[in-house]
Amino acid sequence: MKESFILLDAVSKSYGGDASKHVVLNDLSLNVCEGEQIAVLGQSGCGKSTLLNLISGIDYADGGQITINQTDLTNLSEQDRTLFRRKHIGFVFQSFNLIQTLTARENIQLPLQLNNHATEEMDDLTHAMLERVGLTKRAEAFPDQLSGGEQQRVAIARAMVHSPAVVLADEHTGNLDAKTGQSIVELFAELANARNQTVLLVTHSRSVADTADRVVYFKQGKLLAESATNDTSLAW
Amino acid sequence: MLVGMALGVAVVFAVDIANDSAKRAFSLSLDTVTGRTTHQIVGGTEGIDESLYTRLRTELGIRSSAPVVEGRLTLQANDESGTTETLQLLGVDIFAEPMFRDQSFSASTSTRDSLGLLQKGSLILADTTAARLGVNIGESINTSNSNLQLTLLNTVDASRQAGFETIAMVDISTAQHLLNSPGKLSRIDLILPDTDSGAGTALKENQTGETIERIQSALPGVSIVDAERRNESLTQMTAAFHTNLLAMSLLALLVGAFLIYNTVTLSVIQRRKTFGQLRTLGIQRHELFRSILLETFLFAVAGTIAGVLLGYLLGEVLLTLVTRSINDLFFTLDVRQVNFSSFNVAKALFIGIIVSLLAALAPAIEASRSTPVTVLRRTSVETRITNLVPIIFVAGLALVIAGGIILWLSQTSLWAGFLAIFCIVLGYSMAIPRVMIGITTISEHRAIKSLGTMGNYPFRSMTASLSRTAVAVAALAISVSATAGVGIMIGSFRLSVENWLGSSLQADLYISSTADDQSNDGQVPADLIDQIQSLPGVSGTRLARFTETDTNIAPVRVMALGFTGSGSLAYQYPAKLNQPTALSSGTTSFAAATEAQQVKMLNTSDTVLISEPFANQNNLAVGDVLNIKTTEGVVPFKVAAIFTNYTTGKGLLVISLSNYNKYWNDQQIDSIGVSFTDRTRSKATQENIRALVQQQRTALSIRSDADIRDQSLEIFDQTFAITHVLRLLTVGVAFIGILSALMALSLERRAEYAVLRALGTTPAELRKLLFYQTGLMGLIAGVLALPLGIAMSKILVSIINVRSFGWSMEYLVPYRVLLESMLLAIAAALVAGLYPAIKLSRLSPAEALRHQ
Repeated sequence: MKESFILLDAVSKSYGGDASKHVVLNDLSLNVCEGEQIAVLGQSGCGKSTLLNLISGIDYADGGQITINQTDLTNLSEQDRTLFRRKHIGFVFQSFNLIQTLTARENIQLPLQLNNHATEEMDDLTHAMLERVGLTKRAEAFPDQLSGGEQQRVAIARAMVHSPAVVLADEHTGNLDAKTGQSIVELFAELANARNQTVLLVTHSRSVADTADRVVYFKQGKLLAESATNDTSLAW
Repeated sequence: MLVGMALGVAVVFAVDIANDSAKRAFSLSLDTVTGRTTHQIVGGTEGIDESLYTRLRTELGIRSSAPVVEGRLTLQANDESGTTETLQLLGVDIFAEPMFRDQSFSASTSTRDSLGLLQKGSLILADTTAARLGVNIGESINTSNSNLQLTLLNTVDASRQAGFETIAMVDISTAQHLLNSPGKLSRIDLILPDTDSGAGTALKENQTGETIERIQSALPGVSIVDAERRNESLTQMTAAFHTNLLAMSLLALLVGAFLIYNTVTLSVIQRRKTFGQLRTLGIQRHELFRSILLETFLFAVAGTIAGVLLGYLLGEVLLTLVTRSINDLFFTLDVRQVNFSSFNVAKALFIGIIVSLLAALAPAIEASRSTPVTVLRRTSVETRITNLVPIIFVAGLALVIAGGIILWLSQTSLWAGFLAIFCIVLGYSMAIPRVMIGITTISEHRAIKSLGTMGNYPFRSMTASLSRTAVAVAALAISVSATAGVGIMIGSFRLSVENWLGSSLQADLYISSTADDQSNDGQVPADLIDQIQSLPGVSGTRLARFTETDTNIAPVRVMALGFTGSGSLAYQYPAKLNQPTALSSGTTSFAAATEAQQVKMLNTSDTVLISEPFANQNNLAVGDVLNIKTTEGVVPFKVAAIFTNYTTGKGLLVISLSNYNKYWNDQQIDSIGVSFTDRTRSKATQENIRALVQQQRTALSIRSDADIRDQSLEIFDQTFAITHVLRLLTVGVAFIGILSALMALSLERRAEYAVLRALGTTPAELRKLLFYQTGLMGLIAGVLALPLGIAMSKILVSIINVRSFGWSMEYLVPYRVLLESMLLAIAAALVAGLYPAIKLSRLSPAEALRHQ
């Protein structure tokens, strides 16, 4: 059996004060192996996005432990969590979230610069990634000059250019039409496989989830069930 | 939003009420002294013999006349503090007074007071003055003027007679005793025509002319001057001072308008999503537009009221500074209370509300015109604004050119000068967005590119939110340019005054009577002059006699100068006003002549030197003839030269002492300047002079040229304290402006910053990024402020000051002021960025992304 790469142990998270406390994750435990691609399925508000936020360290858990590659995130300071995220995690958002004032090339280059890559290396990696996502000719375009599909390609390139160990995707096809969505899913899976990256993707779509190695089902902050993608017994 | 509006209104209201209070007090003071007087009979240096008054009433039958003795009275407080207060001494004939001075004053003095005042040593003060001096009615109070003990007969209610605060009223004989001028009057006030015949204006003018002629033929040697004209130059000068302050406050309002614009826009941005949702739900454009304006109106009313309250407090501080400046420059003025009328409040309300509504127009249109989807997208607004930038730029250039044309066309108008400055400032600020876009191209420069994507980010981010950043940068640039401009002007002015003092104060030691220079009493004894001249180590003396007289143009001060030994005039003659025009006495112009030639020319012909303000205000040029009233009658004097002079009040004429002796038949000297043969070894000579002076019975003061220079510069610095405060206030308003712009940016960019955090930017790095951005904005504002500041200073020095006060001055741009201004802009921006940066570093990326 492969060793755990991402380990969530009895993680809980709630929002609001005592009076209006809303429990989002309740005593959640999850194991993800290195290079494994997990799809998280569930209804809106079940805590899927919160799970990604906690794993990426942009939010913190109320209780429990989150370990990535033997680093306990819950014990890290805000600064260290950020530095860990910068190096080891890539994030793809539903609404692309590109920096509007930077070009496609500059957006992709951003994580490399944050990780202090040498200029030449940065240029090479960016160029290669632009080529890989098919946007070489659109490198100097600003986000508002790109279509939705193109923007999401830039976002995927940005999330993967520095080869993070973990890539998180939050409804990364949610804002795209079916055809474009499908091409993005394929691109995403291809890139992650090529780099042996551990992937957690949150989606509503069964077809997107099917591209993953494993699907976990969430309901009211709890892991309801999990199955291999070829197992259809839990299909809904 | 409230804070922004309140601050903008507060500055304008404060300056307005401080100005009005000072003006009101000034006018009341003049009224208290001159009352309803239409004309005044004034004498020469000796004053008027009181027998003339009797003749005026008995022989000529002019009943509407009142004798006045004026001077200064120093009273010592009736406590152990030892404090003294110098007041304007007004010696009056209590029976002649009621028809002259303010009726409310007359009403407040009873018949008992009238009779009581006749008793020698009786005194009437304002109740507030009496309270400050700790003297009650019936109690005695000491004066340093004489041994006479004064008794407070009664007090006048200062709340009804604000002008009385600086006055000590006594009977004529008491005043004569206190000023040591028995039998002499300072002037006789007249109300002409003498009878209230109910005649028309033309007839009244005829009657007045006839009466004046009658007086002059019956009492030769006296001068009759128009009372209003006598105060005219003083009123003009203070009006110019107030105009300068008002212009400064309007500049603060302009910056305040930017601030209000930013705060209103901020409030719209904060609710952009709500507006978008309302539009989606079917709210129509005009309904949204109306509701935004209505809300702004309500906020504007509340903000303006808060601004008025804040302005009142600020006004008290400003009033002290305004009054101090007026005291230093023009007139003894004592204002202890800020007064404001409903008109002041109405003005503030109008300005606050109108400016707020105008500022809200753009964001209201922006929110209402957009489609429901684009209301949610800020970029659509920015795209529209970026498209408008070239038009705004051209309009700005046109305004700057219009300002230049106004300056060129308006010859002497002060208001036109300020309008031109306003056009230039506004036009320049309109050009700023285009310049900022141009600066973005710098980010494409290799050096900036080498900083990487994060190096580009502050540049791009700044121009991507031009509607926020350009307004903030423009507001900061304007306020900093005002700081730089006024700083350069004050620096140039100070340098000019220093040079002027340096050249004017030719002697090493000055001895003068301690009495007011313009009074008739306390001259330097003639034998002292002889003794000083014969002392070893004295190379020469400069003798001066001061008087006031009238000319065919306006009343003036006259300084008669005479020299012994190595004396010289050593004045500065502005080249522009002293073009080489040949004088009748020779071919060389006075200004270009040698010092010896100048003294000779002044002594041998009826020539006069006139001060620059007097020349400018009365359009006089070298070669013109001035008819000066002397004891011997009216004498035509030719204007030989126009000299630099930074004193205020009436114009100053310089004539030779020999001419003065001849035409005024007066041999007295008020001041003597002593020059030493060797300045470094002058200590013994100084001690000899001091010993001689101490032996005199007349009270004399000895001051070195350095003392006078230091004292003058101290007064100069005090005078400009108000300007420093206003400049700081303007920068303060701009600071709030940039803070609100940064807050707006932070709100707009919340999601973007959250993404940067999600990508691994640490809070410290995010803070740094924001600091770079605010520092960049400050730097741009600072750099852009410099050309505007220099232009503003040039206009202030070469146009506004000449039009306001008649002063021309040297122009110097101290690099220190420029550097300070730039640092001020950067510091203001960085400090303004502190709070948004701290707030930003605490941003929870998860929460921000969730609310996206």
